[in-house]
Amino acid sequence: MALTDPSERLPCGTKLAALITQVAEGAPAADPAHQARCPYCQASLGRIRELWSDVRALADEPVRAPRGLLDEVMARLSGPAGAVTLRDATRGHTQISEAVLAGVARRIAQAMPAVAFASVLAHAAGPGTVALRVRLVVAYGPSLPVLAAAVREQIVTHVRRLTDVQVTEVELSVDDLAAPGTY
Amino acid sequence: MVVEAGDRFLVAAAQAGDPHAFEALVRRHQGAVYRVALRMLGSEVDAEDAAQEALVQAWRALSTFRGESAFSTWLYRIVTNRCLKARAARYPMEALPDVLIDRDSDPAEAVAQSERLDALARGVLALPTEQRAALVLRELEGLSYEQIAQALGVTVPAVKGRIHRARLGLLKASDTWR
Repeated sequence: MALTDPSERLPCGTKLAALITQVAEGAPAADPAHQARCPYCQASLGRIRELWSDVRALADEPVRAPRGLLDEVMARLSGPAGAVTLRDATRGHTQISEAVLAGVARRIAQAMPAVAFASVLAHAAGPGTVALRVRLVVAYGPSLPVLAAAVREQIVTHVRRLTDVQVTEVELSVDDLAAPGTY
Repeated sequence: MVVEAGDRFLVAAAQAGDPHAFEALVRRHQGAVYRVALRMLGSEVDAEDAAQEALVQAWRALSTFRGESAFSTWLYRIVTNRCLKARAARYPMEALPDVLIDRDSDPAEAVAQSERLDALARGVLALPTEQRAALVLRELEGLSYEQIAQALGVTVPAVKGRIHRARLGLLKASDTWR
């Protein structure tokens, strides 16, 4: 611990830690007049400034997450597990998972110009039917009731068209206004 | 650096059970999570493992996040804890990722700086783990003392003490490479 004793002083009595803080935090000098003419302080400040210029360069190095990290994380998450069984079962049953139905509905909602982000949860309501919970982040501008009705209409229509699942209910909330470029 | 706008909505949607909202959160914060892990552990492989474990753990523990700190601070806490528990960084260590070389500058100086930054990163790795965590969050991630205290689960004075000692240790160690 002796090596990094925070109370260590230079021969002039100045605490080394104070000089480091001065450089690292951009803090004002405790005794500017002394510091300006003290060779010990000047020598230490010079070394500290050089080192901190490298510390800042290290902080600025562009380190990016590895390409596969996101996918690896997502593959390990437990999502909704349920599924909707389609009514028409002439040659075997067809099941569509809640996660897929939520994804379809989300894409439909997000395709609408004023919708910045959509979060959708799907719950199998019975054979061939699903209930949706939709949370939206929208751009400022359009009438929200009109927008909500349009999103609901689009989702019901296109989920039916794409999956043959009947949407019994779209519980919808507008939860946030998107600042440009936020989502 | 840290995108807080929109985190609140995404966290609420993810807490309700939407993995897609969590994916958006991961997209925003994975860079910071990985960076901290890399500076804490030194090896890219170990850092990716730690980042992955931390993010999966964040999903599982999402219901415990109450919004008392920023979501990013909460993530810093999880990844830092994971790195503190991980085996001590190997030293001497594997090659560090290539540093950015500024092509407009003197090539000799660029190489010299690149070597100095490698040495500096190794110097950070050689610090005692708790000091290292505080220093990485302060100097490399730019967190405030309060945020670091939240992330490390210690008091602000304790954070300041660790950072003081870490900076002093780094300065002493830099004698060997400067």
